[in-house]
Parts: sequence; C-alpha cells; structure tokens
Amino acid sequence: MSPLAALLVDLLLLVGLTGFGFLLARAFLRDQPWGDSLVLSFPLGAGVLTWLIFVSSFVGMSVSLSASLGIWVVATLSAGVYLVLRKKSDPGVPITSASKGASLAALGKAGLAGSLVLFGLSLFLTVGRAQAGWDAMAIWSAKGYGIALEGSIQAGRHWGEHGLSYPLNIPLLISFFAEVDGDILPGSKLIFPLFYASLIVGCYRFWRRQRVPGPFSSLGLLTLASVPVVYDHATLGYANLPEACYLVLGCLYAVEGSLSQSSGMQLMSGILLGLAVWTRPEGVVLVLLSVFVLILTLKLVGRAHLRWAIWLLPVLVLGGVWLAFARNYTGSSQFGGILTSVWKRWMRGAFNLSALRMIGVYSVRQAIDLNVWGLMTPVIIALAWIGRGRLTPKAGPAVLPLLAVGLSTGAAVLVFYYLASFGGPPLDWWLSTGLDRTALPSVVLLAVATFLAAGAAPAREMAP
Amino acid sequence: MTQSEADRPARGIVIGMAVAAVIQLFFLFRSNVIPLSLRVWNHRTLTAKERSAALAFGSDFAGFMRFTAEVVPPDGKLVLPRAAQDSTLGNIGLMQYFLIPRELINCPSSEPAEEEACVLQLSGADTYFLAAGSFPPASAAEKSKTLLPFNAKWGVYAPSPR
Repeated sequence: MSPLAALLVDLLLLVGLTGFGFLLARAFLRDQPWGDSLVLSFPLGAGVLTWLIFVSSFVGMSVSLSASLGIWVVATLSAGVYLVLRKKSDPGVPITSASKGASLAALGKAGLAGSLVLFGLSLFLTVGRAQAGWDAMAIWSAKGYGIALEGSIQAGRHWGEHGLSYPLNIPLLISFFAEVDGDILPGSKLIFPLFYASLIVGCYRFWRRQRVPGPFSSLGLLTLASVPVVYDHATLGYANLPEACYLVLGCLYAVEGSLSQSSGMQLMSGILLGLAVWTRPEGVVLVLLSVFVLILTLKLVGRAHLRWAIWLLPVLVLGGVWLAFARNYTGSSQFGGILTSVWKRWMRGAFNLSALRMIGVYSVRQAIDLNVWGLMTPVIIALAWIGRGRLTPKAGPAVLPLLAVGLSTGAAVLVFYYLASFGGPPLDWWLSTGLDRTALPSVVLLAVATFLAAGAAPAREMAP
Repeated sequence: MTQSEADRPARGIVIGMAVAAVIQLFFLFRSNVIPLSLRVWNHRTLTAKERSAALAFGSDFAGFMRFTAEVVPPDGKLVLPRAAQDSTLGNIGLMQYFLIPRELINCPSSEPAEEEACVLQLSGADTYFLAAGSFPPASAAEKSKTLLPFNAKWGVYAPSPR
C-alpha cells in the first residue's frame, strides 16, 4: 500500500473511532454542549472499543480486521439507536465570558491559535519520528504487531516486554493500524496527538464551564500545551499521556458531576477512570487513590452528591475485567517483584532512607528544569498564591478536590520510586527514565486546580 | 469600584500568563520542536522502522536491522545475545519490533560452557545467530554457520550452504 493510501485508511480508522466515541459521549452527556462530547470522543471511542475487543477475544473471538469491524459496527449502531430513542435533549448552560476587554480577547485568541499550531506540528512530528522511544517499540508496538499477527490477545504473552501484565488498550489500538495497512507510516502514532488534544482541550472546556474568563482559559490551554514533557509525549508513543488523559478528565467530570448532581457526568467520570486502569499498570493504584481522595474532599466541602453505582460501576467493570484477566500474569511484572523485595528488606530493618533524599533532590531538580516542566512549577505556585482565596471548602468546592488528588497522586508516584529503590535497576535509572512521565496526571491536575483558583478570583472580586 | 478597576487584577494575571506561555514556547521550540523537526527531516526517506531505529539508536543500528531482516527469512529463528551481554541487541521485546514476524530467542545462560552448548544445539537450518561482541562463541557457531558481517562490530551467522 502506498503511503498516501495508508494515510487515507488511517484517517478513516481514526474517524471511525472518534465517531463511535462521539455517539457514546452524546448518549451520556446529552445535557452538555456537543463540543464537550467532541473533546472526549477519541479517547472514549478508542478505549471502549479496545475493551470490547479484549472481552471478545477473552471469550474466544479472534482479533482480526473483520471481527474488530463487526464489533465497531454493532457498538456504533447501538449508541446511535440509543441516541435516536432519547432524542430529547437539554441545550445545557451556555458558556459565557467574564472578561470582555478587547486586548485580553486578542491574547485569548492568540492562546487558542498557538495551541492549534502546536497540535498541527505534533501530527507531523509524531509520524516523522515513528516509534523512537524504548517502551513505544519494546512494549506497545511489539505487542500490537504481535496481536495483529496472531489474531489473539494471548500474543501479548510472547510479543513485547512484560508479558500480559501491562494493559492492552494501546497495543490493541496499534493492532488496528497493523491490520489495515501494516502500520507503514506509522499511522498508529497519530493516536498520541489525539490524546494530547483531548487532555488539554478537556481542561480548557472544564475551566470555561467553571466560568473562568475566556482569555485566561485560552492562555492556560497554551501553557499546558507547551509544557515540554507534555508535548514530547504527544509525539513519543508511550502510554503515559493517554493514561493522564483518562485520569485527569475522569477526575474533572467526577468533581463537576458531584457539584452539579449530574448523573451523566458521573457516569462519564466512571468510564474514563475505568479506561485509565485499562491503559497503564499503575493506573489501578492512581485511580483507587483518586476515587478515595475525591470522596473525602467532596464530603469535606459538603458537596458529595455522588450516585455511587453510576459513578463506580463503570470503574469496577472496565478495570475489574482487566485485573481479573491480568492477575495470572502480574507475577512477571516489574512491580510485583519489587513489592516482594521491599517486604523482605523491611523485615530485615533495611528502610533505604538514602533513596528518599535522592528522590527529593531529583524531583526538585526536574521541577525547575525548563526543558522538562517548562514554567509549570513557578506558574502553579504563583496561581495558587493569587487564587488562595479559593482554597477553602466554601469558596473552592471544585478547586480543593482537584488539588488534593493532584498532591496525593504525586505523592503516590514518589512512593513508587521509593519502593523501586529496593530492587531491580539502580534508582537513578528509574528516576531518569520515568519520573516526569509518571507524574504527568498529577502535575496537570495541580495546574487545572490552580488555574481555576486564580482564574475565577477576579470574578469573585467583581461581585458586589 | 469601576469596571476597569475591577478588571485590573485579571488583566495583570492574563498578561503574566501570556508572558509565561511565550517563555515556555521558546524553551519548547529550542529543546524539542526544532531539533526533532531537523532530525525527522534528515531521515525523511527512510521507512517507519528505519526511522525508529535511526532516531533512537543511530544510522548504523538502522542499517544493521535492515541487513538482519534481509538475511533472516520471515519464518526463520534468530538467536540474540543475552540482555546482560548487549542491553539493546539482546532485548527480545525491542528486537521483535524491528524483526517481526521472525522468532527471537536467547540462550538460557551467558556462562561460556553453557552458551557454547546452547549454540551447538541450535544448529538447525532455519536458525541464525545475531553476532555482537563475544556472542556467539565463534568456535561453536562456525561448526554449522557462516558469518555474514555487517560491520566490524555486528553481523549475522547464517546456516552454511550444504
């Protein structure tokens, strides 16, 4: 197949996944503007379809082009029929701007335009650099190509590293491209800029729904979009950015769904958090911690209007089915081996305290490295100071839960590294190869919370 | 308080944000977008897997992967050094990405006597050895294979013609 024909086929595949996701999002968020559904459409369609194919393969169906197409047709038609049957919709609350200054509006437009340029560039860079990162080649693509070759998820046992202890969302997505055109471009790399766009535009839409002024939200979008490590992951081919997309958006919809008592948003949150478990091995720990902290903080601010079954059932089903399958293979994972090693060392009284110092020093160095996190650290600190009036249960019912999840998941990531110091490769290797990407969801959540706190502050001051 | 006075803090924050975004964009383009674009442009004529190999491990490595894929047939079996001997060429998961659908295996040990026994045992007509460093032991490999060198460091031992 020629590269041009492959590009057309790949784009058609992405449109198919996005279309399915859009119908699903409309079905669950029918009282929200369609733009919000569009933002969620790719990650939602991709994650739910790969999960359905995983379950089908689990019960004996092959992972072939025809089987995948059949599942896509049935799932898309089902979502479409559901939408037609429930045609009545509420247009939702229109998003209005709190700032109408002409010069600020121009800055806002510049922010949106700059973000769009970065997204466009990422499409060329992601295909251009192909699978140029270790995990992208040795885990995700090798598994995806192996699954396409053998037509079964069991191929993940012997193709790529870590057997079947790593979730198969990204490998199955890559396998679609291998099935349709051998992934010659590689078109599978286009999924990463789409996750990137969903993540940052999802944060932007959240700010706008929370009445953060347009120019401020647009510049927040550009600031997030241009963080070097975030942008690198838009073109690298690792699963950390997709996981961050699911986890961050899942938390945003949980908070918003609880504050507005919206069942649709809570359902969407549950699905997104379930898909985070289905994307990276540490997803289960981060999701469980996020759910726990969200419940605690929403109760603290007196706004825990959670419909437990609607919110948590999708997490249990999407994540639980994967975990039930993967429990037979976790013995081969790095993390399982490390936990055993930690336990043995603790029993001997070896707590490895020097590792804590190394982790602290490395984290601070990385936090202020402009080539890694850009200006995220000073920006987050400055915005938290500016919006400190909103860091109270009464004034910041949305800010506090997000801040708490960002801080707690960030702390959990540091604990991962402390545990990693007990076995396997040296700690500096672990830190240099993974700290920035593992911290992606936490830092983005902290940024979302502080942008919200500071962005909404002027509006509060303007109130009579 | 007038509208413009009330807007002042917001205006200051927005302008501050714009400045921060511009500074961050400068660093992003300097450290990522421009160097990556140049590297991608320099490798634009290569296939996807060759670009992966060249950008991650250099042009020699990319050439060696192309050479190996030409020498070892798709239904062939390729024996790699152990990861302890060569962390890149010995990593089965990584090499599978470049050499799929070929079957890739390691010898169970890099201890000289056991490795030699393993190489002697894998003498089948569909079995190849990836030569890197001290792997495979030449004395054992040359009993049934012929070395096809790629460069001074790397090559492939292919079954000798009968």
